[in-house]
Amino acid sequence: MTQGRLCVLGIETSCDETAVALVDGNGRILAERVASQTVEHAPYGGVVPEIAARAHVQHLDSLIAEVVGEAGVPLSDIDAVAATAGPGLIGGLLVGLSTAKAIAVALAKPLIAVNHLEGHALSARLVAEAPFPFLLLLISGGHCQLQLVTGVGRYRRLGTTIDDAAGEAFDKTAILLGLGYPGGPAIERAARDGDPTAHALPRPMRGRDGADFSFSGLKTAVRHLRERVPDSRVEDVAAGFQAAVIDVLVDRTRNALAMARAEAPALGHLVVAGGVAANQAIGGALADLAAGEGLDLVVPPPRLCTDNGVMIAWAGIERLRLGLTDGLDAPARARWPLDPDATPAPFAGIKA
Amino acid sequence: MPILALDTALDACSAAVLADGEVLAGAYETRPRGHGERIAAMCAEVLEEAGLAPGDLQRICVTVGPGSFTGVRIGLATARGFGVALGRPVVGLSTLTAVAMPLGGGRPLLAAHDARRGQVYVQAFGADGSPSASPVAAAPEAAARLRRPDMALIVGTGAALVAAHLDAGVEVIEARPDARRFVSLAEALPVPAGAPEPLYLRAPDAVPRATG
Repeated sequence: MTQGRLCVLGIETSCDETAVALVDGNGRILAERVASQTVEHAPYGGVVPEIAARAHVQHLDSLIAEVVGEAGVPLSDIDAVAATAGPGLIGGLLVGLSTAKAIAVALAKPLIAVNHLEGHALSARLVAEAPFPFLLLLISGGHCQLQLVTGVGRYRRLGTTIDDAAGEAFDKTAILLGLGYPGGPAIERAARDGDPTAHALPRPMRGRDGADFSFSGLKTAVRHLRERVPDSRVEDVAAGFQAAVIDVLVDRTRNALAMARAEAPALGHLVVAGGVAANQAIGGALADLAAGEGLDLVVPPPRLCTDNGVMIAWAGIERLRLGLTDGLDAPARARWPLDPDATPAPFAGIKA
Repeated sequence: MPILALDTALDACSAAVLADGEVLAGAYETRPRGHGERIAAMCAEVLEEAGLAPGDLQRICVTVGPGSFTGVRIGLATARGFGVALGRPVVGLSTLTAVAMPLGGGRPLLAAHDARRGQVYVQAFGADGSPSASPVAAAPEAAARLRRPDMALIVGTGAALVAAHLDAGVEVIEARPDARRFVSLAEALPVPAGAPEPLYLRAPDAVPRATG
């Protein structure tokens, strides 16, 4: 069997998307499905774990059947089954992982319990050349961290948020501005018609040592600004907020790069992943940073940056090549840091 | 007809391979949590002990609740995973039927499982083992009122909770579902049109965000 013909089924159920994909060793996506639960959670203003878990178990097996049918590859021909085992909402994780384990037993295939964050990290290698070591900026609704990635399963955390995740800051600010949910695309749209210099907003952590983030003060500053200047244009505030986030991300990433280079001088790539990586203004600023630092920037396309089964299947392929398979007792883990040696950030919950 | 039967809905975990009215292999463990770390291996173990390959299975039988929401989903996800991998039907079994049928012995009875939060999941069964009403979540004293005069038996993990509200003449059997006892049930159940759904009997704990 050549590596290119490896074929792995990927299952993702860690939050509010039920996602399945079949991917081969050349990075070819044979088929994929993503069933979003946005409508189910909308009345509650956020993801309700029990509702999410109920939806996952209702849809997952038929999504698998659809993917297999479309790919035209019998499930018995796959080389392994990979499922997100954490971090995330435990009820959903258990649905995906239990399904994967049953498939592994039924077909006598290896199981790969994938870290969702590793799925994001390695998705860059599915779409581009991104040899190890590389610097990873992971920015999503649940996470904001900088990692030095020296190999599959080998991470050193250089920075993380001490309060809100980047996507969380976008969502909360969008609500303050009456722009609706999800906040990222709404703020980006509004910011296009705004003047980022119209109002002074803080750049939390900028200029400090290290590569940690903080976004809750910025959100509070937006609220105070709206109270102080009620007739401020939403577009201007959105643009000012986005510019502040960008300044912080660039500053922290630059610091992390210096830290990463001290450990890995051969580092040549900056990878940006997670839902917030779809923001064009952020991507542009990071492209400038990468160019100035002589790095190649890799940003997977938006459909690979939001939660999906492709990245889990791909992480499964990368791990399978190294013989990194898991036992049937692999636990689902609500918390699962990429770098187990990193000290947890004090107030960050699973976002660390 | 070889059948894989499994249960993770309450505070135990069990799997069995059944064929033609016999248990070829079975395993049962009391386990308040961690079902997801055990059930798949347990299925593999009973298949090996039965000397069957997974592909020999003709159907999968699983308890669908009522029980712990997480436990119910682990069992269903496992069973439906086998179903989609093998292209075999999955049949669902209520956790109340799962204790009522094997333990009733031709007598009418109440089956009740501990639902926590001061409630039991309860259902009445006739002498032939068929349910005489739909299962409900109710306080133990309300559940006790479902007992008809001809019922001298209560079974299930919530049996004692209900019996505390009844006269002393009622026999109490504290029992959890056990896949090794699903033999006749697993073979007789009709194959549903789609995959079996969870039987939660309770809505999720969530309050819609106030508007305006």
